[in-house]
Amino acid sequence: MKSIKSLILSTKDSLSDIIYQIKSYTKKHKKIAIYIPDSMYLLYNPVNRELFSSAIKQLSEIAEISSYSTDRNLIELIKLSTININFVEAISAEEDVIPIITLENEPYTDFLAYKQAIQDSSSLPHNPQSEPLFQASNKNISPKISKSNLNSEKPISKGILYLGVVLGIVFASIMSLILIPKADIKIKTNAEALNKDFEITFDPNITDISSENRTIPSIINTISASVDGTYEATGSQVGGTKAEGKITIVNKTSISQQLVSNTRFRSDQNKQFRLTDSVTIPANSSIEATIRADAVGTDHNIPAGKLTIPGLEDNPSQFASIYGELKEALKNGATEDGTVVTDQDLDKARIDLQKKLTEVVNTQVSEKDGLKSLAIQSKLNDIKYEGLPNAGDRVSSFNVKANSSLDGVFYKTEDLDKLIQSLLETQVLDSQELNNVNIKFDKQQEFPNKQAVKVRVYVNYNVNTKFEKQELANKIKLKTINQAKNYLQDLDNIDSVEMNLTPGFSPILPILGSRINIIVE
Amino acid sequence: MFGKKEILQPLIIDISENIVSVLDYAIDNKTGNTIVQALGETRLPFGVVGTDSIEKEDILAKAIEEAIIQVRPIQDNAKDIQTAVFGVSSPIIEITPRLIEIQRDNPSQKVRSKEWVNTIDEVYTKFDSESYNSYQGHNLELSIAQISLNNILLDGQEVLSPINESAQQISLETINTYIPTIYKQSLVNLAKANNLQIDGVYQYGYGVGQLILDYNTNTDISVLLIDIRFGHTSIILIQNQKIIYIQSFGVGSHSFTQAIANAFHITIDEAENIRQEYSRLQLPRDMSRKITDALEDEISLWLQGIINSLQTINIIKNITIHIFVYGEGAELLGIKESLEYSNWYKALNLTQKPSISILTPKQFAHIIDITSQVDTPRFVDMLGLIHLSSIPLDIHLPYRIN
Repeated sequence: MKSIKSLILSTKDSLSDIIYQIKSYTKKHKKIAIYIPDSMYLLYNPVNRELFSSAIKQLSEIAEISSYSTDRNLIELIKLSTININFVEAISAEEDVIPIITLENEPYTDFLAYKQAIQDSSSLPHNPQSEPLFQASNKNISPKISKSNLNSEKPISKGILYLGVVLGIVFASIMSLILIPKADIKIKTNAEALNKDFEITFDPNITDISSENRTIPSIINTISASVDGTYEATGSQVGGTKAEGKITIVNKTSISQQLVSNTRFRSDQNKQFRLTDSVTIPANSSIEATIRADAVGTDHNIPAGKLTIPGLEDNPSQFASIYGELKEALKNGATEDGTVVTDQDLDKARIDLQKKLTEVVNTQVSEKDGLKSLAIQSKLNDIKYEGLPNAGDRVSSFNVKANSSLDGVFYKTEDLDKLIQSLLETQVLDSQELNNVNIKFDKQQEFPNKQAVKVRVYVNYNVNTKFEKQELANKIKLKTINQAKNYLQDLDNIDSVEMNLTPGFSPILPILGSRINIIVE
Repeated sequence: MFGKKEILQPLIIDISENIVSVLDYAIDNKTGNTIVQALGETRLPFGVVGTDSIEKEDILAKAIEEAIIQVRPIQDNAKDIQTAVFGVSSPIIEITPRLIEIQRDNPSQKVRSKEWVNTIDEVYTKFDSESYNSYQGHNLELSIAQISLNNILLDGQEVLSPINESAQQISLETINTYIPTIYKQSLVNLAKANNLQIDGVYQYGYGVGQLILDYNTNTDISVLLIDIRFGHTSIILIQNQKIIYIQSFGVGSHSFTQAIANAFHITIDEAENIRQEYSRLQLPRDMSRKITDALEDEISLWLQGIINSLQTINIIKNITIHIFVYGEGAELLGIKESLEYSNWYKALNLTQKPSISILTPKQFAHIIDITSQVDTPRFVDMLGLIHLSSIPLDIHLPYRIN
């Protein structure tokens, strides 16, 4: 085994790097050779050189450090700090540049070899021969004794028999001491409650979490909803209703014909109606218009058919060529009082449907396909109504269907959990563990469209000391109760320790770590 | 259309080992306040910029371009040539006082502006043409980057301005900053790659020193500026109203981050986050305790560097000293405390313990940051550069790299 480790400094190393490397080497090796190459300008700086020299002097107390350089100027300067440094022609990891000492290869190669050696030894197959002796004895010796008893030609002496019985009793006692005792230990720990906040970016343009950038992917989704409702018409109409409906006015003449509002139309049953609005019917054409009965009552509910225009009676050819056609029977004429749809009824229906839509959307928006909402639009997209009557329609009730949608930004809760976990894990030691991680948002963000959203996320969490239970059990086995309690209570962050031993009179903890059951709360 | 065209100030460019930052600022004509208008930053991968050198010029040029776009988005009609001011600082930079004596042909004539400009030109030419030998003793070629005028003497008499004065001899005491020639060439290449004209290259400490000097009303105290940058710490002393560059040494904020990374076997990025959270007291107690342990050696090394640096100059012992700590590593828990709670000053025979505070941009009332981003001690260096680039030219004798 070579005894001197060489450390070749790099011109790219910082002063801290250099001192750290030398310190690391002195911790592991008794003799170190430091090689300073050319162009190590860092050490020309007087303060750097002084710090470097002080470190060398300090570390020379724990290891033998020899320094070498190819730079004569630098050697002179370093010597001023009373550091012993020698000139070498060249620094090479391949050659033995200093004939007096045997150099090992490049230091990092050594380091890797050292790591490899550790891995090699741990990967060796487990050798049963190295198990505790009493286990091997149980397996191999006992049957042999029994066999030799059966096959022995010599009579067994009484002494040997007694010895065997005594050994058997001792063995059984030992085994009972090993196998029967049991300890149940309950350790209550003090958790350290902490909180932290992070600015997390939810980005719809990425697909993977990045703990470095603190970003997680988000998804923009549309939630559609459809609801319906039946509403009563609350308007009242006293004294019946005039029948009203659409007719087609036909003009078979070669000139257009204007008809003013209130122009009369008469049915075969001699019921009279009037045109609600003025119209002009082009020559040889027809148009649609609305007529209303002259009087209230059901007797104006006439069947489909032809309606003549009494005002044209003086001109027979016009009278025959210009007329109205009722294609569907009129039914809305009423003799008694009735209900009609009011504007208030329509508003009420709209408000109620909008509320229902919002409720339905909100139940979907908090969680959709396993995704959680981050931000949603503050208003529903355009609401479409089906079956909404007009104000004044004579109906007692009406059914309306409404549908709409809402856009929202969603994320996977596991993505956020994973990111927060990874951010927090950098802050706990190997001997600690995170618990009760509770994530809260500042507030729901405005809907950002396709932009990434930055959200401040508040995290409450506990940090507990992590206990290797088996290791602890091995540490306290065979200790007295007080010793074990004191040992456990002296550990960091222990609140209380409760012990329950079986048998109860046992003054010490079991001999086997596996018989000690530790519960950490 | 007929509005007064705003004068474009030089872009302030700070190149650090891990980040390149660009500031755009304006001067408010009514109040004279400095308005920090925009900040652009680009993170640099490891190995692009070293403490003393620029390793990958092309990547850095691209990073500067990205940062500039953040502060001045490209406009199709933008035809103005943009100017820039760079800052420099490293343990290898040499800042040295020089004296130049110029004999006048007509001593009875008063010095006029034209003669003064010519004199300055002569000074430039002299410094530019001479070959400089490092006082540190290495053979790395260094070139002039900044000439700062410390004193003007007319026939041995100190004057504020030589204009309209007559004298036989003009003596100029300057403080010259020399940087590696290769670094200077890199700055020229970077400027060229980004279509920038270099308005000045200044040592960061000098800029902050001048800023403090011009705005500090208490002239009775000495001020020690400790700038903890990424890879090194730089120290400046303001004593008797003069800026004295002391020293730089190779322990910076990265050294502390590296110490955390080494102790916990984590990446530098993770260690960087932890370092910041540790300073903000956001870590669990046990974790904080471990980090305090991990940083102990590094902070001791840093403090020793401060002591060693200060031992190289004569500080007036019986005067009140206030220390301003700033730069990327200033807020690390333990830095200010190490100066506050130890007796380090006794090693320097100072009669009084200096007072200490962390210097942040908010402490300069005349600098208004409308970006709300320029608020940590890291940006103080850039404010120093802004100050130098905006004060009247004859004060600091700007030297322009061609």
